[in-house]
Amino acid sequence: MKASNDAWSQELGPMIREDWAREIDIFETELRLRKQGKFDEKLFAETRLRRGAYGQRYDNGLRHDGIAQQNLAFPEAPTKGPMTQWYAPGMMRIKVPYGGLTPQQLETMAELAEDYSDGIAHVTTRQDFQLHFVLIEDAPALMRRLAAVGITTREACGNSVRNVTGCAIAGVCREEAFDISPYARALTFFLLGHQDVQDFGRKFKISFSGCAHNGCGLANMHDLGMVARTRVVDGLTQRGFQVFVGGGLGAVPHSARVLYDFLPVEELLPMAQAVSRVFARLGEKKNRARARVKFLVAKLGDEEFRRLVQEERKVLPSDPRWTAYLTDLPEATEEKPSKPGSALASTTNPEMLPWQKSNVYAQKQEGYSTVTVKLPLGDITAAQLRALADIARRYTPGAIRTTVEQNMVLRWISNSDLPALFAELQAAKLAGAGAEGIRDVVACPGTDTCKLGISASRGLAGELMRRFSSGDMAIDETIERLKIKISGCFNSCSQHHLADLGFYGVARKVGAHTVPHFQVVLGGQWSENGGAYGLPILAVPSRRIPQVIERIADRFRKERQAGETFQLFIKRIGKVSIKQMLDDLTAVPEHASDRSLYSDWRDPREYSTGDMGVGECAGEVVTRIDFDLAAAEREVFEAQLLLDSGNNDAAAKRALRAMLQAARGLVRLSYLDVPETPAVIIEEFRKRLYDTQLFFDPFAGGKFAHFLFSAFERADEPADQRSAHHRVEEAGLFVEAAHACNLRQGDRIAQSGLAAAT
Amino acid sequence: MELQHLSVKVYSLAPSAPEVADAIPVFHRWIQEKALPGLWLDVADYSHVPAGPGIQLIGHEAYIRLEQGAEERLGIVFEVREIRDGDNHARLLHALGFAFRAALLLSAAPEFAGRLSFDAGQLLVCAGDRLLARNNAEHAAVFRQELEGALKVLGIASVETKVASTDSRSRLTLSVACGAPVALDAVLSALR
Repeated sequence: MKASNDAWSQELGPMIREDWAREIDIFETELRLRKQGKFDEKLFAETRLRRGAYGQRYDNGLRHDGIAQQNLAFPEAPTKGPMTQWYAPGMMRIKVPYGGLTPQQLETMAELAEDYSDGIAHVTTRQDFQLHFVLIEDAPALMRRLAAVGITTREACGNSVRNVTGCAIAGVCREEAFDISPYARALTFFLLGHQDVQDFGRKFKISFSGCAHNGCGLANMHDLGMVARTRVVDGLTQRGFQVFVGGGLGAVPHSARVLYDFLPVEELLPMAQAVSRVFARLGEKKNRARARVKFLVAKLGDEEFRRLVQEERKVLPSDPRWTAYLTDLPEATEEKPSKPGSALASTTNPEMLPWQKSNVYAQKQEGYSTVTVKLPLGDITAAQLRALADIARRYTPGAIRTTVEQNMVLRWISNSDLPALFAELQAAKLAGAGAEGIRDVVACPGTDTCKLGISASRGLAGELMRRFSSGDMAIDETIERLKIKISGCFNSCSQHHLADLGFYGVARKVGAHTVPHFQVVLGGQWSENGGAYGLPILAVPSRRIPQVIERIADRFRKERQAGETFQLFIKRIGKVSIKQMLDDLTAVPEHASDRSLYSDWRDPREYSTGDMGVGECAGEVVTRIDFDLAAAEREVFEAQLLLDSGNNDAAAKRALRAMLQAARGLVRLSYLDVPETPAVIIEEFRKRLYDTQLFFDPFAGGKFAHFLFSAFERADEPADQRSAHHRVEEAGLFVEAAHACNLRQGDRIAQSGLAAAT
Repeated sequence: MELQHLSVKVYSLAPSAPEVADAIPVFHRWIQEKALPGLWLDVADYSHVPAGPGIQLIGHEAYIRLEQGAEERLGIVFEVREIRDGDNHARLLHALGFAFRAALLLSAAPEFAGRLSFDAGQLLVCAGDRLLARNNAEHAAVFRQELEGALKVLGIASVETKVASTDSRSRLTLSVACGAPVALDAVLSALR
């Protein structure tokens, strides 16, 4: 742990929202308990995932060095998850709702990249930031520093609602129905930590698009995708969303289905809550490979899924937050430009012209442009982040967004400022042209840091970018807007299914050796929110992928018909023909005669799949009651600390809170919406678990329940050391009894299932 | 002021810089052969990032990288990740010593044969932790004194040390310049 971990806590304390501060304190306590071996391994794995702390390649302590697999001799400590070494560096995922960032947040990101990572912040294809090589014990300080500038990592990973993505040019787009930003923000914070999203079998991804025909929001590939639209009712324009559900890429891609053709904005939050409840209740929990909502929608069918959502919507307890945010919604967009709009001055700078052509977008507001800052493979240095923060302050109203193509955009640039802005971006090495085209290759982390990586997606992408910029691979107008997206495995983190030229990593056995390959995926469509998914046509050795691209590009140049898109061209000439054109590239010489294909890009080690580990994108299956009981245990531990520090009153109160937490967890098994009011918890606990004797211990009967009842009755009495000690002791016993009750409930369900089956 | 997580960049003497990507096989080999003390985990390639951290050898206790860096000047960096015992002087000697050893080892690699050499008298030394060593005049004065003391032990005297950036957002960093090149062998022998 950094020497300054505690110091950061003191330094930033007043700047952090109280509830976020408490969450981070809780995580820090869990971390301490796990290190002492007092917190379950799987539970800790899921709880750290839900805080954004993810595993990384080699964290099982094994690495193939090109000759043999070696043990990495990390210091002895409990694991931080199954087969995950405590001291192995990991990845920290940082949520950026709809990509929106302020200059101050960029500066914090710069500090964190320097202080806890390797100097690089990485923008992902879901508008998050990721920092790699982070030590788990640094995570609380890192989280506090983010929280102090209004960023939370909560639910960035794990089986919950991930970052809510949104069109990066929302509010300035010439074609949008309306600015989706306030709606994306409202849904983000409504669902963040919501009890109805804590019991999913897998992750859940949400996106917002401002229009139907571009690719900014990719609604079609999301668990829940919203596309803005308007309609006129009684002469009034009404805002709403076309709602898609059940999309997803990965090994089994599904196109989303329309859940609602037009959902009024007032219904957005309750609809999402209802969908969450249906998914939590009926989604697969055991078979991780079929636990995403896309499988549930496919299994139930569109009509039945819609019916269930509508039924759920009817019984939802009303929540004022559903519509509170709508009262002062801005007419157009909430961002106010810092300078007046102006005409675009003609430039004589030859370097600026290609950049202007590819990276500058004319906003719907006259006199303003949005500029895309191209980040190679989504990577940006700490110094560049600070430079970008300065630039954003100088030229924009602090309006920065990350994009799903691993870039950033600066919005509201007054057009006459473009030459000066370009010069400043050039000085910061951030003025690369060709954004979102063939030069701007998108790649997931792949074998660099991901446990699931099979082939070197970043290595290949880096090599392609080098060839494009050096002129080794020629680019002309025919191909410059094509999109290349490369994933290290079938999981499609680069969104290769939607690319013109998509690739995903696979391995092939050749004799006694293994050769890294990429499947070539063609036919994908980025526009229309990811309108069509490409299909793999053949696997080619990794080292020969540049030749694949050259051949396909050459043929497109030569045979393209007037106005024909790449997708239509592929459809017209047919994949069989393309496969024939590439077949010779699949032949691999024997290892003894030529080893060049037996290692991957930018990695001289002889290739091996031995470094793959168990991915954590599926998280751990941990039910809500497990979390509730773990939270109760933690409260008991905190009560002990208060007792040790002589704070008797607070210790007694915390002990009662622990018991209430455990009791509420048990009540929620049969009454999901039980309020947090202590009197109501006691009443429901008595009715559902005490009067029914479900809580009764086989030997002690209802004894432990009386600890709770008695503590609640005496809640307002001052506690001395002795009474506080008793209360803490009783709380520990009550939580143990709650665990036992939960086990008995599970056994009873299992037995009744067994009885039903026989 | 406490110096934890120090980093030391030793600048290259090479007039024409070799490609940083040439360090990839070298760093992988260092892991295979356990060429350096400590636990070394992997190699990270950032050669596609202009003015970036180049090629990094990721370790449990430290990072080593061959980079152009933000100052766009080729050099090898040794950055401490672990909390180290001892006083500031001992930590500085450790970081400087490790950086010089790594520099010597890298310049001897066949991939860089005759194309890469380093000057122990041209350095960039970062105090590391932002809270323990703040980028202000008071801490800079203490840091300068500590650094010059450590360099003296290594026989690097009459140096000019300057605060690299007064931007309060940057970590406290000093640049070190000697009038004439300083050989790595000489300073390393002073450490033995």
